[in-house]
Amino acid sequence: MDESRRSFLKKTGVGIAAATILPRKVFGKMGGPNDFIAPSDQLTKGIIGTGGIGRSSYHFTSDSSCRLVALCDVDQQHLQGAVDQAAQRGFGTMATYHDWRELIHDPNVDVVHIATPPHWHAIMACEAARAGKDIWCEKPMTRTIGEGKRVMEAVKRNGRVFRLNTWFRFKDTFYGLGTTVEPLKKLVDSGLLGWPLTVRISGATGFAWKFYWVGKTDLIPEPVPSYFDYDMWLGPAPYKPYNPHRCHQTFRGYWDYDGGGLGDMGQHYIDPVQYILGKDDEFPVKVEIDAPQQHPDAIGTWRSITYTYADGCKIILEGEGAESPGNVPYIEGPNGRVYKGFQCTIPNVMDVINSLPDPAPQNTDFIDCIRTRKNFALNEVNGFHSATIVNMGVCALRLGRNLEFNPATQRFVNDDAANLLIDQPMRNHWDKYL
Amino acid sequence: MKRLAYILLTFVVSLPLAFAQPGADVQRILSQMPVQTSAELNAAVTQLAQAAPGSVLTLAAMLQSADKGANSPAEYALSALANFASDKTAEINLRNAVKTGFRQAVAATADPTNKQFLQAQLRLLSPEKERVPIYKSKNDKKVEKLWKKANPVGVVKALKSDDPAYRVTALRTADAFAGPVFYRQLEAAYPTLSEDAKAEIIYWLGLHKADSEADFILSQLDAPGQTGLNAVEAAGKIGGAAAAEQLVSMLNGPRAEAAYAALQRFNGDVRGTLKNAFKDASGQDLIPLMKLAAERRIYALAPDILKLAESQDAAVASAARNALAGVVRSDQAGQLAKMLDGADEAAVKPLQAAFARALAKSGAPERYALINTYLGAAKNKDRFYPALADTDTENAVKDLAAAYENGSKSALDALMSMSNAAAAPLLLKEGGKGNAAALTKALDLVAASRQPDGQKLAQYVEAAGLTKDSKTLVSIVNKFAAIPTPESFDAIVPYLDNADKSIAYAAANAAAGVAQKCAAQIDKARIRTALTKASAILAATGDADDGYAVDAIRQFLSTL
Repeated sequence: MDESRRSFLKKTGVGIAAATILPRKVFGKMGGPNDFIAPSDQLTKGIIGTGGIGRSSYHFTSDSSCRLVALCDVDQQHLQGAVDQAAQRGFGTMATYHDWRELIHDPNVDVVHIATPPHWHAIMACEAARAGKDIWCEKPMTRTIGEGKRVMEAVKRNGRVFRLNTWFRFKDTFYGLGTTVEPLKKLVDSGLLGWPLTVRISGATGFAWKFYWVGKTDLIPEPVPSYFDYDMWLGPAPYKPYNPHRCHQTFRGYWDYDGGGLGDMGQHYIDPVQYILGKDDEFPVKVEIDAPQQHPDAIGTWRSITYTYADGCKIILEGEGAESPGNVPYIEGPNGRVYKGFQCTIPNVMDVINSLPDPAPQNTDFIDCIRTRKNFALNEVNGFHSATIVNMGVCALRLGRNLEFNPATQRFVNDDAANLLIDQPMRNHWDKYL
Repeated sequence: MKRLAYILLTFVVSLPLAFAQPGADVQRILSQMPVQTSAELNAAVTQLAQAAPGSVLTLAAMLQSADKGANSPAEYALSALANFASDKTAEINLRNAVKTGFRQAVAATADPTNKQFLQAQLRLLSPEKERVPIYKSKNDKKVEKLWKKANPVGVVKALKSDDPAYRVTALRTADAFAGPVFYRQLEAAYPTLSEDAKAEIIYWLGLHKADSEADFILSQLDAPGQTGLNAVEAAGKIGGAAAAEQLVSMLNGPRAEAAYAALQRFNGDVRGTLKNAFKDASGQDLIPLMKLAAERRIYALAPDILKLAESQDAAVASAARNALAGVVRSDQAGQLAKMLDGADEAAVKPLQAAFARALAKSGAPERYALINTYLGAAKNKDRFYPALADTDTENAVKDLAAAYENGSKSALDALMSMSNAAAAPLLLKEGGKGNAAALTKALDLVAASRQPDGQKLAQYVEAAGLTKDSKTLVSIVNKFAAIPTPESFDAIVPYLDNADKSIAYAAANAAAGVAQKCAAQIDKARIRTALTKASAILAATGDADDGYAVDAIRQFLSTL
């Protein structure tokens, strides 16, 4: 923010009036008035990870609100592909990087889009926060619970705006439910369904768990392609000999980098449930699994994962071969049920919903949040909570047993091995970036 | 001697017998894995655990080098054993036996990948206080004692050791009670410790972002060797105004690199400190300040940095030009235009970046008008072509096309960066001369344009005739796929037989997609023939996603 504008605000008292309506983080220890970006300044962004999702419409845009100016990838073919794509779309010249740290510290970049596999998300997000950048991060937010905490702390400490790349809590038809989330939220908030509630995320209720994201065991080592910096791609993950199935399109099948279909779709499916139930600041206290024996490296399938909150609310994930038969409710409470397509046992439910107050407004314009320093609707705090739900499931699957969780300490109860999965060792001292 | 030989022989013979029972069970149990239910798993693993540590060693001995591709049964079993032994509800004797087995197996395994796997399992079996230390310490027994009962007094005592692994491990145990009280205890013991121990303490305090020790850490910034370097890093992690000032003051000293890195990653806002330092600095002392100003977007320093861009000191001028993109705003566009026009060749790129940044906030037509104002007066017009292309307006296309026709290669480069479809005809023409990049670009512009599908298809077909490059042809086939018409299907089908696998693969996906969208308008037999070929091409990859695609084709063909 230039000096003349800030002193103008002080002299006219506009700054003081603004202080009563701007979020406290604008005037916190970090992220104070120096971070204000005048509406007349165009924002710029860089993308780290230009493989699949990095080149999708979620990230690969450039317009007057935010221009794409930098790209980074450790696969030269991906990077060149992204450069070509940017040129084809007339996005102008891109700064290109091999080392993500250079993109983050590029003075031309205001916003960092993290579109790498999840094992890198926390390191990059923490570094970007420290470098004074705002962040748009792919899901799952982090690969472990401990990493999620670090991201939350770094974003808060440095007064940054963070958004997670999922959105169903505020827009779009929510998969097979055939409705946006808002009427569900209104219905739950009204109390008409009773309490506690059970939510069933299943093929039967319109959700697919993408079990094709399974890993392969006994991968035969292959030579690393010359255009691919495998060591950097691995980063903090343990060194395992290169095989193409570990990387790029199929990395989701390996515990070292992600969480299979649960990791891929978990936050899309679970975050809106967390929002609907009003549990953005809570954690389940128990996770129970029913699954075949898991391999220590390659992720397999699972039949069900059940999360239970202290107040009795449950989130049940039904997976391979375990979908409840027939027409099962998506949300079930003591006084009512909601099914796929928003069929509901409450009579005249749409009239009822229309008469109910709207949920609290959400800040859903990321660029506006950056300019005004407001929290985005899906931010580092509620994102950490729903990512933790996913990662609790991952821990239970990897250990092959049910786990209890203490929300106050954010640790598993009486299970040292599970707690060791909260903060896992990182190769090559990458943990110093957390 | 005979007696010794007899004893040895008995021992060797009995070894297989010692493992014979577990060995037979291990093979039988392995054949069941992976099991499907927790009850089955529990039963299998309990049997293995009852034969531990021998069963663990037997399984570990089965691990081969990764290129054999035969480790998964043993890996399933070993991982299950580790999970079993990490469960506090399991019988303690079995858990200890399994842990012993893993310890022995780690020691006995040479293959690094397998060793790493076994170590990861062993790690799960160690309670948090008993984690495997980072380094192998000559004081292993004392380390184990510290892990079992970590306490501040013990840690401080351990820091007096001359064994670095022991000291570092001691500090790791102190993670459990890190806080101002313990930090003060460290500070009190500090003067009596070795230089190495001091360095380790400072690093550890930085890791913990020990705010309460900020003054102490700053007092160590000039300490010799690693201690001082660790203090610089720690100061950046802890943050605060005092740390910012100290680090800025170090930017031109012997620890400049460390101070710069700490400021780059500074935990907080350093802008005010940097601005103040800028006022007092001169000459090459300004270089790191300018770099940081750019990284931290200190717009207020733009006028100063613009002046420095014309400094007589070449290093200062170069640093200033590189920093401009990070600090300039729209009111500096005119000044930058003049600088760009008159600059030496080496200065052009950073000035172009800064010029683009200065214009960035304006809309495209406004930018076009502004650039033309500067272009009119410029001697080196081609330096402005990237900015012109950036506007992506039809007028910019016309101007650049005219410049290209007059022989400017820079104009062609600029046209290649645009997304306005008006550039497509000229680029197609260029593609016809053998310029593959121009051809691909033209096709992308056509794809993105609002022309009718038929017109687009005709241009794609024309372009396909101009090239033999497989990457370009793949791109063209993918564009056919976006036009769901029988004509497009006809254009795709010949490529199913292409000898180039990448082209055939693209055609397989394209044919499947297009056929499904306009099946009613295409002869069914033609669809069957084409999609049967497509299925074979996709099935040959062995990829999971392609497998699903084959299933989808089968499903579709069954409905025809």
